[in-house]
Amino acid sequence: MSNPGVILLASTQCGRHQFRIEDNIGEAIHFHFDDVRLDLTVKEYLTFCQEIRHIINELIDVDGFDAASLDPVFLHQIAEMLPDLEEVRMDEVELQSLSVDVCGRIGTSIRPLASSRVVKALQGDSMENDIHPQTNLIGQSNDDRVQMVKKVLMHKPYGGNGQFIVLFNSQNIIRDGQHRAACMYCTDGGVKKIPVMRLCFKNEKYNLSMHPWLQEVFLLSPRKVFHLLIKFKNWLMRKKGSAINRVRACFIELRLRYKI
Amino acid sequence: MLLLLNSINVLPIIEVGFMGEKIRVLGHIYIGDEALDIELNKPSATGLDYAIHIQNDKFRFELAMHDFLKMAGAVLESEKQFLWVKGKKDE
Repeated sequence: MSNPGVILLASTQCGRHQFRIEDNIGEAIHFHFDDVRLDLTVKEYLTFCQEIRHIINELIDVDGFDAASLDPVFLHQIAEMLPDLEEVRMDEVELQSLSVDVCGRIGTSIRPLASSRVVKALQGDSMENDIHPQTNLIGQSNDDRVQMVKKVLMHKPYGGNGQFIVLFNSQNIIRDGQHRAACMYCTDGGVKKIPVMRLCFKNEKYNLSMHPWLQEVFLLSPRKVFHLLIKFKNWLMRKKGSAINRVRACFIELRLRYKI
Repeated sequence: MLLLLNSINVLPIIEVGFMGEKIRVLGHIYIGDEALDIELNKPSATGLDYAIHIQNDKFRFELAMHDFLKMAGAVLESEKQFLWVKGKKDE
């Protein structure tokens, strides 16, 4: 029997190599490493995942680290940072002291949780949240995710599954758990103290700059400066060109009107 | 021959270098009836990443630790997506 469909479950790039995991409906789970394919039954695959979780815990030999206490999507995003992990500790912070990083037109910026896109969405203004590019569960929209997290938090207490909001080093910028934080902010207010998990890396590595726009301005590479200059020149030419064209059009109109 | 290939940049150094010394076995995975060891090994040259060997007595696959972690992360992400698609788990 041929499979009726293929669902790409996850993929990653290892140097020049592509690694993909697919659910071949009706057949098996396929692991693709470039052109090599490995077939696993669903039972084998789920056992394999358990083993991998155990192996990550063995590999990252840091007190308090448990792969099960991190969201798997987030764990995948920070996988390359894990060798630099030095300490995992629990902390308590007020919701209003938390910030989020936002990708805007001029790069990343840091905003307080109160004015984050998820809080706005929960208060009825979902425009910014709807267009934000993010990784969701398969078939889930940004709004679906907000509603699902809200619903889950109404029935299960925060941290009940052992997963907490994640912060890096001594910063209060949310790296994982923005939806949970926003839901609690809207229901319980900003003064509520919640437990969070801090991942501390060697030499405060992977901290976010509190003023990323300064980096944008002062840490421009020569290549970027060159491209900006080219853009500026083109803009100037367009402006200049349109002015010349306007003057030329006036002359033509005058010539036609007065038959010069 | 390997040195020659390496000198003309046909192969990166890691592919012709000697395997690093084994540090410890991290665990085992099973594919069908075959068990494979996951080993942590010292880097095969100075400045390189730790190596992970996925191997048994008939087969060996070597990759850098950061690549292994990325692949392992992808496997766990895929498990979450799989359980979601099959309707077995909420957030």
